[in-house]
Amino acid sequence: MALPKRIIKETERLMADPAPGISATPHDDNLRYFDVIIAGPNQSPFEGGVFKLELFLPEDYPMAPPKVRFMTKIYHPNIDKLGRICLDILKDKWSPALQIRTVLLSVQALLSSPNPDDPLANDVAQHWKENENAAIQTAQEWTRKYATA
Amino acid sequence: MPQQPGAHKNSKETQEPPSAARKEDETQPLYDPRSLQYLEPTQTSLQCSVCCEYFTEPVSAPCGHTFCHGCIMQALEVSHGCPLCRTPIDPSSLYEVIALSRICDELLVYCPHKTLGCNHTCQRIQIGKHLKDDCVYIGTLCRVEECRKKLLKKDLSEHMESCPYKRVDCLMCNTKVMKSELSDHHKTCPAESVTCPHCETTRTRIRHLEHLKECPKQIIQCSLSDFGCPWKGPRFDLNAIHIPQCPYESIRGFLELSKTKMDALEQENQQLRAIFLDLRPQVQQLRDQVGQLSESFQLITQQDTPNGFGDAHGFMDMSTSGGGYAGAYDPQSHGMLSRQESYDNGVDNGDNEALRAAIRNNSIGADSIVSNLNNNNGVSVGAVDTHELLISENERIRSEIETLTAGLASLELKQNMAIMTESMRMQEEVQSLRAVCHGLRMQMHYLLLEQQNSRGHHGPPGSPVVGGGNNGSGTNSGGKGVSNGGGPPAGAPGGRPLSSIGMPRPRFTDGLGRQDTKL
Ligand SMILES: [Zn+2]
Ligand SMILES: [Zn+2]
Ligand SMILES: [Zn+2]
Ligand SMILES: [Zn+2]
Ligand SMILES: [Zn+2]
Ligand SMILES: [Zn+2]
Ligand SMILES: [Zn+2]
Repeated sequence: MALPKRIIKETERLMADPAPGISATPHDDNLRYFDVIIAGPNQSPFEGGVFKLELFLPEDYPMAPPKVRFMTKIYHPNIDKLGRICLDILKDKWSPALQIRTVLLSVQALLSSPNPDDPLANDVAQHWKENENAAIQTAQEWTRKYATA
Repeated sequence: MPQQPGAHKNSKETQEPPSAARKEDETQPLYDPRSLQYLEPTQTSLQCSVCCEYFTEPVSAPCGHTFCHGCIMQALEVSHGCPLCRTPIDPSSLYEVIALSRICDELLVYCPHKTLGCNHTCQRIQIGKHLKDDCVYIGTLCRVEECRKKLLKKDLSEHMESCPYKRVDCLMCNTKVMKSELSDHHKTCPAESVTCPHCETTRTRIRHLEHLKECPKQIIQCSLSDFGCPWKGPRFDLNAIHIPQCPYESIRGFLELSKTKMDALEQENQQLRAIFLDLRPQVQQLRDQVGQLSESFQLITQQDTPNGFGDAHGFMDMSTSGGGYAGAYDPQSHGMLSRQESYDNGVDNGDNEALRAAIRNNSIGADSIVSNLNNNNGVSVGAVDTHELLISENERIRSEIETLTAGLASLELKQNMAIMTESMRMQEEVQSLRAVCHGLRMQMHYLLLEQQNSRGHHGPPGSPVVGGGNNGSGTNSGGKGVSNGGGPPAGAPGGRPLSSIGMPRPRFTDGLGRQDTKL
């Protein structure tokens, strides 16, 4: 199956004009599989961290959303131990008008504003709601511990 | 109005890779519209947000957003909202944006076969026509059925010049021949003219083949060369010169007859050979079996039979030499001999004849043992039993013969005794008869003398008695002449010793007996 023109175009643009704090590099042997690095946004508990993700474009992309997962351990109420992300545009709110770039920007935004009301990691979300400062401190510790390049 | 022509939807759904689009089949799209390369710098306002390309047949939704018709239809299958603002869209509410469509169609594009070398550029709407009619970088297949080589349209005419599968006319015979085979065809073309190498006349090949059967100058062999005639010469000379003087011609009948016989023999030979080949494995099989038997038999004799047993020895010999097949297979020559020895040792020569017969029986028995063993390799006990049975049988026959011989001797003795006794009795009887005869004769004498005396002559009464007694021997000798001469009985050997007693017997038995009855 030839790679759709849209994926080629998106890849070219990601490489030529990357979004700030985001880099996505396709594998040589599988152009639908990307190694992604997102820098922890400023003024967030993840500031200073470098987070690795993997992104895969399924066969029916762009009709179906890409699959994205955190590879680096992160203490975040919307990301579970396995790195799965609770983000609506990666599920039911996906639109074929969205692109890899927009998806990664959304993930970056999720780091800036954790949403403990729509949790994936229940214990983290609980911690966040009960004692946000302590949770943020843990997140900072994890960032130092696991996400420092 | 909002619905687009079905053909466009088709072309989108069957997104074929470029190689497939290059097929000559007119029903297949010649190119993927979303793969076109545009000359213009990218203007995102003219691009569909789903496929990220310039719009192809753009349609707008009530929300105001515009997409390619194909893209929005595909997106609506997954979710029912506008991909950009998520407002629900009813497919029937989509409407064509004609002005936008025209703008996009007029954008300049490269020919999709730019990478193959086509430098053609044109308005997007023209590209289909270019590909269909003008582009020579489009892929195609050689039209010759056997070839079907993939090549670019621009190379087709060049290829057709040299396509090895293309048919060309043979100018000689007017048949169509593959170009690659044309030179071969000329070697066999029936219309090609051929010069006879023998007589140097020229004709078409098809007639040349006929001619070769009768070319008068072709060198041929004598028709009887099979039988050894060494003659070779032009065909013309065969009948004209050679045949009349061919030495083989005169015995042609004989030669042909022997040839048929030879052939028949050869055939038979082959049949026999086939049979032989057929039999060979069977013989081999039998040989193997016998070999096995000998081994197992050797084992049996070693285990079960004490040494020195004559018969077992015979079989031992057989089995030891029975590694070879001939020895084991011919008990008459081998096992027999040793058995004969063992018997000769124990039996006196007189009975040899009978014994040989018995042994002959025995050797047949040995054969049956072998076949028995053939049947049940493992059953060793049975073989030994049969063995001992044979020995005792021989023993029995031997003693029977001895008994018979003894009986015969005693019978002869008895017969001799009986004959002797009988002849003694006869002698005694003859003796007594003789005495009686003598008495009667004396009486007759007396009566005769008394008759003479009563006629006139009266002799002294005592003298005749004395004279009679003396005359006994005299009448005896005279009696010889009177006797009718019945020869002495030949079969009475016992009688002879009695003749020494006195008078010959015949006179009394025959002559005088008759006289007695007269009296
Ligand atoms: Zn589109
Ligand atoms: Zn919209
Ligand atoms: Zn072209
Ligand atoms: Zn060809
Ligand atoms: Zn020909
Ligand atoms: Zn000729
Ligand atoms: Zn001849």
